[in-house]
Amino acid sequence: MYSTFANQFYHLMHYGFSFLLIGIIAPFFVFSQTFANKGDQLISNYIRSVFIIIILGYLLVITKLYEVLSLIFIYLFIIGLLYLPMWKKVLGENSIFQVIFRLFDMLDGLIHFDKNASKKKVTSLPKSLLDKWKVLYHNREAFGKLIVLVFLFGYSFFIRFYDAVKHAAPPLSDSYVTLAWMKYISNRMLFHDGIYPQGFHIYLATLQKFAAIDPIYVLKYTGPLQAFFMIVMIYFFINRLTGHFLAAVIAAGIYGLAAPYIMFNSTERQIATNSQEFAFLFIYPALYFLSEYFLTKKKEALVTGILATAIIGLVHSLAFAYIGLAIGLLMITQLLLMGKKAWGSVVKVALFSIGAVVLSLIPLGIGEVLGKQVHSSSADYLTSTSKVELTYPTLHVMDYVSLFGLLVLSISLFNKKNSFKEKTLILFTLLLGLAMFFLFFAGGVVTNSVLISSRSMDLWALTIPLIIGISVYLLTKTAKPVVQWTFIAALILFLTVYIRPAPIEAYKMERDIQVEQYLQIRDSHTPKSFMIVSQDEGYAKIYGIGIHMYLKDFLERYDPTKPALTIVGSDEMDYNVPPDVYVFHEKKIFEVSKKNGIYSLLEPKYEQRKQDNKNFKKWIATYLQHGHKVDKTYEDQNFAVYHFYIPPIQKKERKRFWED
Amino acid sequence: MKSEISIRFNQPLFNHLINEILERHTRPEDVYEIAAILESMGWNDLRAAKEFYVEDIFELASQIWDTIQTKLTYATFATDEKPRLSYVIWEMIRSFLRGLIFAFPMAVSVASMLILRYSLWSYENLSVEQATAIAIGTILSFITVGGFTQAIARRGFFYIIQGYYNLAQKSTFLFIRIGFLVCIGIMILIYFSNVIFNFFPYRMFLLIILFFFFLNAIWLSVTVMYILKKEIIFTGLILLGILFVFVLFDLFGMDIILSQVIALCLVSLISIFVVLYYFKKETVKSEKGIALKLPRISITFYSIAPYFFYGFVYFAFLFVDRVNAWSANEDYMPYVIWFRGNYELGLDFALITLMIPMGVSEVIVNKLMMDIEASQKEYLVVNSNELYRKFLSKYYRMFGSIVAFGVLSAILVYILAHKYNQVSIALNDQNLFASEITAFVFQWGTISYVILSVCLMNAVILFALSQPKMVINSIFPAFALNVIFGFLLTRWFDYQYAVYGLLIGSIYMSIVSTYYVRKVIQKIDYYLYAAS
Repeated sequence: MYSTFANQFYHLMHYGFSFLLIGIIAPFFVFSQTFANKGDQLISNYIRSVFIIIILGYLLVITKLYEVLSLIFIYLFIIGLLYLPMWKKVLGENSIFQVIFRLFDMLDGLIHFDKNASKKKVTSLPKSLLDKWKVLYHNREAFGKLIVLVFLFGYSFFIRFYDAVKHAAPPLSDSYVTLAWMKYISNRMLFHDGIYPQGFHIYLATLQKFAAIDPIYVLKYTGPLQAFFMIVMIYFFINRLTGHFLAAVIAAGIYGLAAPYIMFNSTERQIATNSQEFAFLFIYPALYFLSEYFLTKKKEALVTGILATAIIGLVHSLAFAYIGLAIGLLMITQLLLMGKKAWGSVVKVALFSIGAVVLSLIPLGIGEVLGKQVHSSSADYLTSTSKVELTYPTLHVMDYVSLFGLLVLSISLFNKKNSFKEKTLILFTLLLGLAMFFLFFAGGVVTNSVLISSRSMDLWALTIPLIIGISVYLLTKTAKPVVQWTFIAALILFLTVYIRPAPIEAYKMERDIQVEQYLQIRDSHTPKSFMIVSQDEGYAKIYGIGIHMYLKDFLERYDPTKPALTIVGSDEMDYNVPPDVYVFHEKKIFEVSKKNGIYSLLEPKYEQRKQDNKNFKKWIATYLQHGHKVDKTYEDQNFAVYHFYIPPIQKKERKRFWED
Repeated sequence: MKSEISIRFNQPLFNHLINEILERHTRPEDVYEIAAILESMGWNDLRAAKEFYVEDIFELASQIWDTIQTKLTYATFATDEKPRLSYVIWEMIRSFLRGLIFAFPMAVSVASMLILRYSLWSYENLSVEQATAIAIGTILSFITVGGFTQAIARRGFFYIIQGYYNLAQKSTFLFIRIGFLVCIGIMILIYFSNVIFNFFPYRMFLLIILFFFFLNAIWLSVTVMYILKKEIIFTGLILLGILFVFVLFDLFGMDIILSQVIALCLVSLISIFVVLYYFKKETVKSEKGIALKLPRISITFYSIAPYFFYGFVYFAFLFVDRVNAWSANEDYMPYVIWFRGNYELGLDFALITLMIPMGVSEVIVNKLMMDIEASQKEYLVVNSNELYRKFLSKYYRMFGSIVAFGVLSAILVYILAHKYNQVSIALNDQNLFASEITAFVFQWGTISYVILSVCLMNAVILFALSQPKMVINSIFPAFALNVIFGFLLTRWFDYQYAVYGLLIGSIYMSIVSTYYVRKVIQKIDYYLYAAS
């Protein structure tokens, strides 16, 4: 079953391997190590890797070459190209000659293996780890920080990942679109449902190709993982720019453990796999590296920041607008603080940013060239205006806390003791905070845009940790450690006693058992050798793995009075479908809560499903009355699975494997 | 001044000196070597000036060098006795038959398929899944073992020609041991790759591993039989293997795959014992009483590395188009590689085209090498251009012959394949050319193999002149072209176009290898010297 330890362990191992391979291991070999800080380097490598995956994905999908072999070949080619000069050198660490010399020496017995040395090495590893642990244990501050981080990240991870490992059904209706689009990319189909940034789906498809597990697991794991990394990125941003542990922990803690207080209904997006959240993941790193560029003028920081920006553009338009605004404000901050001196770096960032915009628009332009239309529902959502008059949103505790933070930032602007770096952070956070607050508070009312009124809260929620983090830094930067640790203790106490974050839940479109049954069927058949008859959700799951048919079509196509599956109006069995056909019969239709905003949209569909299942009940009764057989492979009070077996064509008629 | 010197010059002593130097070294490399020899004979600047009125010993060495060079042109050479025509013809027939013997196992397998409907590792009613697994195992075995067969043959022949069977056995078994270790290493590697990437279900994976391992064992034994000139034994072993399958499958009703695996296992074991027996027999026969040791392993490895690499790339080149064709995405593509019988069948028929040109190539290259050996002693240094021209024209004739035999072979194969198909339809109701793809692949595969036969002839010539690097420089880019073009064409059009990858690779290789052969022939004396 889906949630068993063995099943989850197996799939998580595969997923983890793929994630590490394309995000950490391959970039380590491909990119030069240019950052002094290991954290900066790791994140920069990941950004560059994702960027390359997306660009490569677009190119390979357009040229119909997107597959594991091409990706492996290109990666090996790049590595070969980069390392060949080093390999060809006679001397040097990477010289192939040195390896050959050593091999020859070994073959001639000139190198002796000290068996004890390898033993010593193995035994010394835990010892060195133990020594490090002892040092850490005796350094109370470092040990305390470690405990806090383990608590913060561990807890945030747990509440996000719980659904992914416990429940098979994907959260939110969007998941099925993401799943289908990921599969379209895997099958080298670009903009299948219309023009929409496909960067995220390319990333997912690549992840899936190397993980080699059912795409549904990739879908289930990626959403929570990216939401978790978002928390890490907030911590990283504040900690690297302020060097203040308390500020970073509070900022990350708010997003990680108090999400319902800043995101409200959108909290469920934290466990869903959506392109918006994936794009959000790169916002803080983009801002960090660009800030670093303004402060240090390091070229690699600029490149990484712009690549992160380009990724956002290639993934989600709203997030791209946010980062565009944020970069603009960062440039204004530089101009306000440095005047003409900042001009050179500002122009450079502006030009590179324009490059990122162009780059993000190219795939969409290619879509136009390919004769595709803009994805209709996204376009409608982007341009639609509310039919009812929008009102100002109600402000909650965290909004007031953030406003207080903006006040702190405003006052701090006049503190002359602040360093240039601090001034940059304060002014930038203040400008961004004010912009986002007004967008959240008045954006919907002013523009009457459905998009702004519904999604501005997500953008505001993204900014709150920054405002609070920087404010906390300003308020406590001179405080004694004991005060800071008291704050942290209070925060942990508050979170665990008062908030007590529970695993995040989201609405589902189907029962877990429906997904589990699909997985069981796919595991017991070779790919594309079975057909499942079900509803909309089944299409995205089964596409590319097996064959899917809608229940309505099944009822119209097959005659229940004749052996399975005989086409209506004929005596011929349908040999165009695979021999194993499974029908998912919902005795009781699964529905989202009536309180859910999308219920009204789904209601007609539910009526149709009720009718289909009622008709199927009659169909199967007629089928059985005529003396035909069918297996029931699963049944509970709400749901049943029927298995029809179509015997293969007799041997004489069977084509041999060398025939068409 | 010059005339004064010549008057005083001690000619008899000078001639005596030259003779003494030539006794010590018949062909001194340069002036400096002569100077060194003179010094070792007790000559110094003072004595040279006294006896020959030269400035120093280097001037004397220079005069001796000039005289020796002139002498070379005047030296008479011994003309080799030309072998009798009957001997030459018999040798040619032997070489040709030896080339053809390789086709016997194939012929036995084909006959078995026609009569019994199965062979040692094929069966008419295999599922596509099983066929995929067996094909992958077979291809992997060829690619893995390719380098080792070259290494065994190169090193084995080297010792056997000198009569050192003991050393030949030692070196052969060293490579066989390493071959098995590499085979096991690859098995572990593909096991872990399969765990990570879920390429195939375990039932398929097991088949891949079993066929891969046993076929590896068999190919290694075949190579040894080849160097011991016992190729016909292998045909016997294939027959024996088919007999085992017959007993297990037909008489005992065992599963066909299990029967084949058991038969493969038995055949590979017997092969190893047969090889051991023959080596022992030959060693006893050629016992020289001196227990020679193999050179250092590093030296052996270094010297055979290019041949090993060639063997590996050659088999990779031969099979990569199949990988491209079978991995191309079609409507039904359950695994990353899915056997496409109609492609395989077309290529299998086309492969037969290579048989006759291979036999012919063996004959004409042997003849060429014999001629080169004889002719190099018949030409003066000053007439070396004539020598180049003679062999260049000989090479063009060889080129023409191999192309002619290739085309002839292709026509024969075309006729025979269609005759065979008629028999197959009549006997088993199987139309092997039912698919257009089979016919397409057969047609282009045949053309590719005719072109490849030229490459193989060139490769043999270059190997004979110890120029493996030139062969690698021809085959490696050809392999890359085969991969790239085959990959792109199968992804953009259809899987049967993988055969164009083979064609493009073969064309490239034939052009480049011909260029290299011409280059070598144009400086044949230099390359012969370098090879010796």
